[in-house]
Amino acid sequence: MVSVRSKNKRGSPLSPLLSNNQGAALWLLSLLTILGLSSLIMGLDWQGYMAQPTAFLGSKALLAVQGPEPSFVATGYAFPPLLVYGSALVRSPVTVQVLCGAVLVGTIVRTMGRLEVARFWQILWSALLLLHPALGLMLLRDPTWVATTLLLLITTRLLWQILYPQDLPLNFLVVLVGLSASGLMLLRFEAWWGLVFILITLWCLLWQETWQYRAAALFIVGTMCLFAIGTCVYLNWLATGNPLAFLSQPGSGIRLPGLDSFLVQAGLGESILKILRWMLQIAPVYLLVMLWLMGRTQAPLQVGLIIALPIVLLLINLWEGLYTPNLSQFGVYLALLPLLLEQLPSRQSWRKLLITLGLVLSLVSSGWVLQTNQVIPDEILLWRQLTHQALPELQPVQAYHQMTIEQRTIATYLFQMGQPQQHILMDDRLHFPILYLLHHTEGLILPHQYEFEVALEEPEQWVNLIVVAGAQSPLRMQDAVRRPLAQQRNIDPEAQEGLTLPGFKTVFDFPNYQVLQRL
Amino acid sequence: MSDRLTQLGFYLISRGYISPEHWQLVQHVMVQTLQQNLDQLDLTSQSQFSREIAKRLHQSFIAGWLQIPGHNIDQRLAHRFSTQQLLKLEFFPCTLSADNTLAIAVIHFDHPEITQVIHQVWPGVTLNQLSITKNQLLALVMSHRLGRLPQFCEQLRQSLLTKDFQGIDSPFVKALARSGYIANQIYQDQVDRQIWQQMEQRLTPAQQREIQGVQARTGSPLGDIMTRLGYLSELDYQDRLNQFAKLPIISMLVGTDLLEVDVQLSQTFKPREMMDHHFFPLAWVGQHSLQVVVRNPYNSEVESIIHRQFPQTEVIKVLGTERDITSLLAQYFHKDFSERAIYRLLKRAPHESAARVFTAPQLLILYGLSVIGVWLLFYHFWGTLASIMLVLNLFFVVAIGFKLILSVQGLKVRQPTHGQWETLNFNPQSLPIYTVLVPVYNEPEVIPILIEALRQLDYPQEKLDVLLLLEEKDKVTLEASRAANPPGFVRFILIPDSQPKTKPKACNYGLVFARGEYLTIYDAEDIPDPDQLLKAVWAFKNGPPNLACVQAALNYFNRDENFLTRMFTLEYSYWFDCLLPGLEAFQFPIPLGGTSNHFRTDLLRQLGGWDPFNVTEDADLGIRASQRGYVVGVINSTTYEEANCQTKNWIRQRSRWIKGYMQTWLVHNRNPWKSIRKLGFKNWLAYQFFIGGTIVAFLSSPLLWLIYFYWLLTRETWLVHLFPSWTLYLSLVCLLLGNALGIYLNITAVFRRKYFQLLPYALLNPIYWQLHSMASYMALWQLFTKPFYWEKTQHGLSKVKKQTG
Repeated sequence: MVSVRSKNKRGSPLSPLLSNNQGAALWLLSLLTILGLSSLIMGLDWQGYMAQPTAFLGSKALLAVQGPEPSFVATGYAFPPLLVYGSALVRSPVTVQVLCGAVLVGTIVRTMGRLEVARFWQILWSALLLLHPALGLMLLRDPTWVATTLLLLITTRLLWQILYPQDLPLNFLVVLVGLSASGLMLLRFEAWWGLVFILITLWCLLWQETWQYRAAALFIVGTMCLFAIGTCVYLNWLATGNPLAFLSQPGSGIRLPGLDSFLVQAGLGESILKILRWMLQIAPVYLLVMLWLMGRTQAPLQVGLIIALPIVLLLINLWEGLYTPNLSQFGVYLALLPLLLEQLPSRQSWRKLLITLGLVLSLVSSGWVLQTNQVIPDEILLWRQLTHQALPELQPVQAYHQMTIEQRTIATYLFQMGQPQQHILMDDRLHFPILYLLHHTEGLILPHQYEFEVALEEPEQWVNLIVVAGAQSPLRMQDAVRRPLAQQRNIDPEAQEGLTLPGFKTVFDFPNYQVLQRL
Repeated sequence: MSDRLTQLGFYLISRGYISPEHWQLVQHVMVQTLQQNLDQLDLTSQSQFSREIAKRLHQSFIAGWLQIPGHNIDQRLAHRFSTQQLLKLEFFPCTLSADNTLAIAVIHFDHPEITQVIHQVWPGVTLNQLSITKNQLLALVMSHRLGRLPQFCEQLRQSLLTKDFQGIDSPFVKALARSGYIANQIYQDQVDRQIWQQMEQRLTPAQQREIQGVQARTGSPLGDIMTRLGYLSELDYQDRLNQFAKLPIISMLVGTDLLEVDVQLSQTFKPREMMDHHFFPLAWVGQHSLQVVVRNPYNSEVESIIHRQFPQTEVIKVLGTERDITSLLAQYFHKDFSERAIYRLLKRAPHESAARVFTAPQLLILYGLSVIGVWLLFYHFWGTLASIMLVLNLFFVVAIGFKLILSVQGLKVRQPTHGQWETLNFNPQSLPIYTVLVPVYNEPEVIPILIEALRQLDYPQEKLDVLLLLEEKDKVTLEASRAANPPGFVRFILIPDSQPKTKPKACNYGLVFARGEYLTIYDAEDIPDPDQLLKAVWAFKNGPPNLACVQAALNYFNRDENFLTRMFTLEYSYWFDCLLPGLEAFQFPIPLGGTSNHFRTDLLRQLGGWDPFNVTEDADLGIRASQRGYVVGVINSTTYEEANCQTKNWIRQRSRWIKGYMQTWLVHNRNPWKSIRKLGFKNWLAYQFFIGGTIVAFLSSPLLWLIYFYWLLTRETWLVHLFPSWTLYLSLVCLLLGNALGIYLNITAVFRRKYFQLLPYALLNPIYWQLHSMASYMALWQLFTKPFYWEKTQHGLSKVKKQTG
């Protein structure tokens, strides 16, 4: 077996990047990352960009914190629960995003600083990683993937230490794997299926132990993960009466309404091929290092299983039909790369050059993917905004851009109109970006409330403003306000025409949204 | 005898310690005068003889003269004379004062030759003659002339240890031993060797190998080893020792009216000193002689202690065993010891004693809070209830987080593997005496198993000091203990009948008799890991100087017996393997567990021992130690106990523990500001969560479960008032995350112990926790009704047989 441990000396003279006063340097780096990420996100917001995942988490956090009651009915089935309640706790998903991002960047730089290569290579590789669009986009737009990456990083490192024990006791590592894997269950639905893969990996890693020990380890990790899954299921049942409500109910977050038209699904074989193609296109260096490590160890199966964990998650994502073509999720591989490089001695120049080449290739191909608009509009918007480029003339991108403009306009109007006595009727499950932009829930009448049905029955008596899906919105059939109101007025809800109500005037009649105000 | 003396002489001359001329003189002294005196020793003793002469001639005895401030021996004066002169004329110059008076130690007063020799050196000097015994003179001359006494003694020791050297009973060697110039141990080694030769035929080869093995490892005297291993009874040993010492043995008289004891005299010495040095003063014999029972006639420390108290007193020794001395101490000091065991802490630090359950300010606060609570309920019913729920849930969330951090740290730092003590890397010969207190009450059935478990301890048995603490009225256990024929290292201590009848009182009583540098407590049914004492010694030797106590882990040997024992094992594994190491890692105060806590005896005495009014005296002691700036640690060793296997018995035991926690919490919260100052805020907070938190959790948990199940069954909407907004989320976190983590951490603890079969049982913890809550309410009731009542746990109920070793 390759002695990875022996190549892994901390504080080696060859790791000068953070060798002096590592702790202080890390703190400084984390602080800089926090400041940098916060400034960037605020700057983007100022320019009109709002990421859909952030908006979803933010709206659910608002509901949990501010109500209206019973807020749990609206939040209990939201996925991922860990980030929904985490955001509620710190009052903002951006805070969670920035904190997780800072830890992630700190970990990447710290790991790179420990590589047994010259400072030049450490800096070069760190720069190539941090400049990689996939990692950058992930840090800026998707708190869920940032948190997932962080937990995957921890899990992978723990699994690695189980394979090549260092100073921590084996029992302790297994316990920690249980804790970190259970966190994954509360972040990504595909991790529920991935649990089987994690358990198989663990079984293989503990091949030297007795079968009782291995079974016990699986029991431990499995139990904690099942607790996490059970928690999620229980919350769903408590909130909606359906333990798996998050899979089907709109506004659960597992498929964001604005992005569900971009969802991709494929069979298992096709999924594998597609994933491999994307991997080769966006993160070939990960595959390169993976094969390298497997080739030089006496436990290629175990090494392969550990490294394949994020790939398997992506595969399940596609197989389950939860995949949207976005670059952010490939940030996982970039973030994990330093950990793999740490296990790979790269003394020979040709190896260093090959890794550099792989990183440059990843960087360039990712830029090309973005530049050729092969990803979801949300990311195209962000990329163009970051690079100060004009938006492409593609219909989906333009439509998406139009929708975001409408959301901001409506949110601003509602904010200006929103007096304590003003009651606004809307379906927050679909129009969560407006709720997030509005940043308060006072006066809202939402589907989870007891008053909602009453307000629908007699809107002219109870409601001041109504926000519904626009005539051209693909969401108009799902809108819990538009549909019953249309039915009441004998209007075909599917018809691409605006909604009119007696006693209300139309304030905005956008393609995606319509706002009615009581006369 | 002359052959042996010749051998000794040849040895000393060949090594250059003494010239042939000097040897002639030494031999002359020994043959002519020392032997003469030795013959008289049994009747009068040398010092008595010399004192008599000094008294008759109105001269001072050198021992008394030296005790006067300013009087000492000026070694330079002796350089003016040859060794031949000093030994032949039997004198030693002590001090030459400014008024031209020379203090001189002599055996024969007004010897003309001495006067002549001295006047040749100091003409016209006035002589102040001091009486000295021959042994003392010999020692003085030897120390002065040889100059290299330590090396000399070492050489002598080596020669004494060779089998062919037979000079053991030479007066010269005896004199050196008695005068303290050869360590007593060296002389006793030789005595033991003689005993060994007598015993060799009676021992099997295996026994011989065992004894020699122990001696090679520990360096302890053979006599001690043989008695401790049970191959030679204490009385037999005393008999054999007496063949050399020629002293009477009093063992048969102890406990009878035939032994005359001057009670007032015994009160003048400190019991601990008597215990440590194994002596007990019996009575005055005449005006200047004191009859003293000693275990080791060659322990010169006894004379020093007696002379500190009664200068110029002749010590007449009689032989007794360790048990004899213990019996005498118990017989004549039991009232004092008993009172001290009960009231010592209360008198010394009443604010640290649980004798008073509530203080006036505490009662005031309690009443105040109750009044405010009722008032709030009256005016803001739902708001108050919701606030209570919020506070409770907040508390649970913090407590869960705290325990998670502690557990992760605890799991990280320790491994429950049982290494061999040889790997601990310290010299076994330097092992100190270790006292083991074993309080036993109404448990005759466990005595033979207990004694077997104690025998299994991997610690030199001659350095073990096991005190079986038996209640005076518990005749059944006492009889069982006697019948078990315990080895020599076990002593019986009978606790006088008094209230409160608690384990800490018994331990305090036993503490007086403890001789060990370190001390631990085991329950009668305990099976400690054999190397536990060694690990504790290692921990103390490598720990900080303020390390007062180390706690070993407790676990159960009958863990697979039934649901209760399985759950109990899960709980204990978590507590001792995760939480306590976690507390230690963060240097938080550690509430000690029931047994297997190992103390530095001196620090334990400084702390005032255990609080006999506290029913979890150990937890209290751990906190008290932290408050006084001492550190409590944990060691990686386990003691196996019998888990309570009957629900009723379990609840009673647990109610005592929780009541004790309540007492401890109240005691150390009498003055919170003072506690914060002493412990530091961080430690104080940890203590609040660990002790106070446990009580709150057990008391409130059933209420929360009741509400939950009520809602589950009825879906009553009014319950929404109890959980508004954030409280609901907090409650869900407690319900889901709290229970999940509680179960998970339990799983991890038994996983570490490799008790794989118990893993699924951890899932049943929420049921087991309800038993805790039942016990908590019982404890709360008893805190007000019977605060000091000791709910005795019944042992020996398990059907699982203990396996020692």
